Amino acid sequence: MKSILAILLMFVTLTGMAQVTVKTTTGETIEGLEATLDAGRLKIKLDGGSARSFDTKALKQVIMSEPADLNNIRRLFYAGKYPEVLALKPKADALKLMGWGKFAAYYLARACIAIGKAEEGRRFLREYENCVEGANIGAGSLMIKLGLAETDIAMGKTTEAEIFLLNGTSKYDVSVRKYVAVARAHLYFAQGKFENAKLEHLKVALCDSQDLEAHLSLREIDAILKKLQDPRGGTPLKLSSSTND
Amino acid sequence: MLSFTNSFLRRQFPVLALASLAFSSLALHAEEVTDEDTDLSFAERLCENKVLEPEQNSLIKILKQKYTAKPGFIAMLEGAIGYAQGNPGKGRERFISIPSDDPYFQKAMAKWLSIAGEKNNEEIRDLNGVAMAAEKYWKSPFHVNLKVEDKDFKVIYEGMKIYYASLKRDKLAEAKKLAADWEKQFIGPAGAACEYSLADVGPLATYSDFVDYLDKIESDFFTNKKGFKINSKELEARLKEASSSLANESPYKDWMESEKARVLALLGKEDEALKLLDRREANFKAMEEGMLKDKDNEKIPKDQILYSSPMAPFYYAKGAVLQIKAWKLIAQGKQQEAVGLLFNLPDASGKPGATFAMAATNYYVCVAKYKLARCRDNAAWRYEIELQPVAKTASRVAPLKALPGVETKDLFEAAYNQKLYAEALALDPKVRAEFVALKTDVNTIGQYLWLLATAAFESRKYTLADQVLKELKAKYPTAKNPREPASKTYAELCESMLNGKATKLIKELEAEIAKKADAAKTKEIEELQVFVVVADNAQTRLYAAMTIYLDFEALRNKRDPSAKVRAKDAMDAFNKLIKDPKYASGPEALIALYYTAELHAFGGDTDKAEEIWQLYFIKESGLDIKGRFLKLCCLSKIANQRSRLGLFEGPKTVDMAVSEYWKFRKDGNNKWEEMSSDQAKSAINMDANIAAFSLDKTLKNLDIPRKTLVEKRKERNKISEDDKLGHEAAAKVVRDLERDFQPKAKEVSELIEGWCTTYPEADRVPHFRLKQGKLLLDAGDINSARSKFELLKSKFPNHEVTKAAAMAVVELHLEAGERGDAAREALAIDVKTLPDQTLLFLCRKFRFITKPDESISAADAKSCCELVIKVCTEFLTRPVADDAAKIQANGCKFEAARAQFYTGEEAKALASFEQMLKDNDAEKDLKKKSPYVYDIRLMKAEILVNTAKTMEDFNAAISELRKLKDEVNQLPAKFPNKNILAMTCQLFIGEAGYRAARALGAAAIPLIKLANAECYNLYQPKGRAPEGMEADDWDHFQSEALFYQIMFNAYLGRPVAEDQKKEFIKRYPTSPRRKLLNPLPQAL
Repeated sequence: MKSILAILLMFVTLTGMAQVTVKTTTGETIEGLEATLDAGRLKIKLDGGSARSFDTKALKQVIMSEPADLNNIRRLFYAGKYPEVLALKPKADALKLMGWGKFAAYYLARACIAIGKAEEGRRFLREYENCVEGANIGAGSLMIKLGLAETDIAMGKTTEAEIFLLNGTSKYDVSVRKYVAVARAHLYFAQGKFENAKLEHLKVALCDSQDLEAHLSLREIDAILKKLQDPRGGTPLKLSSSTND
Repeated sequence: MLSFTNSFLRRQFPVLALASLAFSSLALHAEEVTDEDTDLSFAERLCENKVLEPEQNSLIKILKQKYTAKPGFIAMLEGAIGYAQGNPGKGRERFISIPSDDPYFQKAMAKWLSIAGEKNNEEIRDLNGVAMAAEKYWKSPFHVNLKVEDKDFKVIYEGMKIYYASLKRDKLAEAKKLAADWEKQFIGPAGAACEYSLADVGPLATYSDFVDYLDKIESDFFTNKKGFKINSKELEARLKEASSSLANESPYKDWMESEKARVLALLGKEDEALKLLDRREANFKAMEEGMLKDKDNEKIPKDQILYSSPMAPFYYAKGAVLQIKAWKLIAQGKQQEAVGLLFNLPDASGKPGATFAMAATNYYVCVAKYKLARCRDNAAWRYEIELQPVAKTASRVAPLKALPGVETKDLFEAAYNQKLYAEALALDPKVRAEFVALKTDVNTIGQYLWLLATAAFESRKYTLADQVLKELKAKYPTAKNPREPASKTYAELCESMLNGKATKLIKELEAEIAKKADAAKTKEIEELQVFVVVADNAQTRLYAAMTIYLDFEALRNKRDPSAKVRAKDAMDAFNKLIKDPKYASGPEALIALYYTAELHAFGGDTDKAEEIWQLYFIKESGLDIKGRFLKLCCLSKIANQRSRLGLFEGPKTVDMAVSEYWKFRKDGNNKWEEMSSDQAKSAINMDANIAAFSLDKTLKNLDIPRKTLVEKRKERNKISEDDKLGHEAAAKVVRDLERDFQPKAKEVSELIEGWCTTYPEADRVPHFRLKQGKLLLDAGDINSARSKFELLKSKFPNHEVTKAAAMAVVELHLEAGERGDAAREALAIDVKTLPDQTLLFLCRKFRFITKPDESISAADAKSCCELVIKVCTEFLTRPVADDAAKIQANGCKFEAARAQFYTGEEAKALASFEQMLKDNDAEKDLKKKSPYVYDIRLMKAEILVNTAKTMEDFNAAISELRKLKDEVNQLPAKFPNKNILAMTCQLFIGEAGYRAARALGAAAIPLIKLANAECYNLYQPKGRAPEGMEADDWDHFQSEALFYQIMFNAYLGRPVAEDQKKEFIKRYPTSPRRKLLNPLPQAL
């Protein structure tokens, strides 16, 4: 009874929260209920029925929950459906104003790399580089940089990637931790340091074990094991006692 | 919790899924992490994951590479790993090693507190660790800046509470100070609300401590311990302290009333105590009823509610007060009044005079109704053990009604808690019978046996304690103590407890014996001192003083530091005789004076000593042969002292003393033929000593050329004969030096020969023979040297220097590569007489050659093994003086077992190894843990290498060795023999490759490459022995690593093998591996 009550209370709290927070370049903060895209402008539905709209230049930061489109892009990416991911580019463009564009660009870039079009991925990243910031300023920019590093690695420019990945990233949001580790894993793999690459992938698999990225990492570990002629290669590792944060 | 809520919401309210995701996403966004946080968290998870066990070490090694410049972080990482691997000891060791000035200190302490303080089923993972971490943090300067708002405050606060509780057990004053300091920092002015007080543990602890104390006093009172007297002042003071420590609203205030009544009774105010209890009874009962009726308590079992009822301590207190009253009446002979008319309980009459029955009634109710109450065991004990026998023996009295639900084990525990060990032991048969009847579980039995062993030990029944331990080990090996963080078995706990207690007891006994011996000796000396003064004749006085002097001599010869004290005693005694006017001019005083000179010389006052000797022979001149002999002794002593002081120039030279001696000695008027045989023998010895001065001087003059020669020879030996120019140059230097040195050495040798022939019976002959042998050895005349050593051995087989000669012969054999002969020679030495260091030297020299291989014959290897076993066994009989000796002893145990293994006594050796591993597990002190567990694993790996036949075998052996190497590399830098262990792993991998090449041919090429890489890493032509490693050991590793590399490269058809071969011959000209290099093997 008590636990159900607690959940109901939480429900009340959540519905009572503003769904969108917009910070403008003029220093204004606007709380809204819903955000939609209307003719290239971000339209915020306000409490009481009125609405306001903003263009890119007026927006500094948009804080809102992850849009369903980004969720779709991510799921398709981890399902290995790369052309489908790239087909959602128009949807990703819409995310630019919602504070999630940089995350979308990251997945688009990795999808490009997966189909051997790293340069195109790089172009996407550059295109999204200056889009509106999301809840955590810095996390989005780091995603762009990580995406660029991934394309560098894919294009054989490991030195540039190494400078950024091994010396330029030592502090990051916990939600980006897995992407840092994965990029480093790819760098090490490209440099032939397979043990190090395995270690980075294991960080993802153990520290973010419930994340889709962890499944991908386990598949990549399998490839490394084969490379190392480890007898375990070929059967993906099952990390029984791993837990999530 | 959050993830649970999310999934629940998604299932129950799909529309909310997105919102909840956003919630979790935003929450996550707030947390920033560093690479270090990630790596730390990863390492912990890695070590907890069984699937990744095989690569744990190598991955952690890679992980650590990034942090080599951050020792604090590495220690923190290793500490966390220790805990994750289920080894809190290792975890603690690493965390505590972080100094407070390390930049990671604060972070590490917070981490340590949170890891050690993790809860699992309400049990804190490592209580000790938490207390240690909190202590370390609190003693560091950082705590001053700690604020409630800090991220780590909560974890530090929880740790501090545990630290406080641990401190309170042993150091109450310190604990109180800590609580006060803490409160000052986090609570503010006195009396303010104390949300973060440590004192929520504190006051209750004061109360609890007080009740323990009261129980003890009461128990002593009832058992009428001899000499027991109530310290009423202390009792009252502690009562006051405990009362005031409780807050007014504390429920324990009510309990305290009952304890107060017990105190009053103990202080002889039983009636006042009963009145107090009567006054409170109605109130307590009402409180109990209220508790039972409280709706909030509806679902709580009744026993648990009654646990905190004030009626439980009330009944016990009333029982105790009445029992005290009854006991006093009985003591006054008013048996009838005390016992009164007893009925079967609980229907006691309550009439005046039935004090005893009323006491029993109260205890009965306490036991029957309050099953979980703290005082229940004690009540049961008083009822069953103290009241029941009285009831049974009192005439016309029926026994007390049996207590419900009380097992004898409960009574045992009550007795144990009251330290009534004999009484507790007496209950054993009954407890055991109940265990059978009640089918008690193994853990309860385990706990019982543990307590039983302690009780047996405490009551000095050591055999019983030992028996119980054996029983625990045999019958209940798996019974575990759930309270122990490492979940140790009761058998382990019991064993370590008994070991600890036994060690303590032995130390106490030794100290007691030493104290007694000292006391006896002091008393004897005191008596002798009195004798020196009161005896009525000079001879008795001299005898008493001489007795003290002889004691001094014995101590001096043993190099006992107390010789100084005894020298003072002897000096006092002699002075009393010399200065007594009655005897001052007598011959006894003169003799006394003679001995004081010796004491002065011992004390360093050489001038005074010589002065006395001079005075002495002036006084003695013209006396009888005894006097002349003593004068000769004085002259000899003067010469000896001057020689010892090196007085070759100045007003008082050795030469002057020597010529004076000879002048007196050769004076025909002295009629030396009148000397007794003992005197004559002493005189010859003195002559010999005086004659040896010039020999000593000549030998000393040879010291420098001799050392130079030895050094230059070493240098020459390092240069290979293949390097003709270099070798020739070095050889020339040696030849020149030899040409110069040899005639001198020969001359001195002849002088020694002459001296030995002149004084064949002199004490110093063996010493000079040894010196002669060594001199000839250095002069390059090995055969003559050996003959002198042999002569010494045959003529003075039992002399102490003969061992040195034998050791010199051993070294001669070793240098010549005759290891078997060396071992046999060493075997002939009586090892019992060898000092510890020589035993260790022999062990070290021969341990690497215990293993038979191509370079040594089976017979020789056997001799080496026998020697190692012999010296190690002897070393193990010696007392262990300190931690270093303990490590050496562990080494000897290991080496002996290894040698046994090679002599075919595999079973014995493996049993030894197992025992060592077991002892090591039992050893709690990290410093005393045997480093040889790794050697044992190495040995086992070596067996794998030696017995490998197939590719799989070799792979398995190599993988074990690599794993072991990684583990060893993870050990702290100061770990004994760490380098040797790691290098041996590498060498064994080399050996595995070498064997694989011969056994498998071309198929072994991958293994050869792998082994070659290890040997390549090991061989460092420009390197030096790491700190703490003997140069011999280093050379061994280097030469072997190079040897394997040569072989591998030859097998792989690489031309570099030839160059390496040349290098080997140049660097290691005496290595037995040399003969295996010609010719090099064919490529596979």
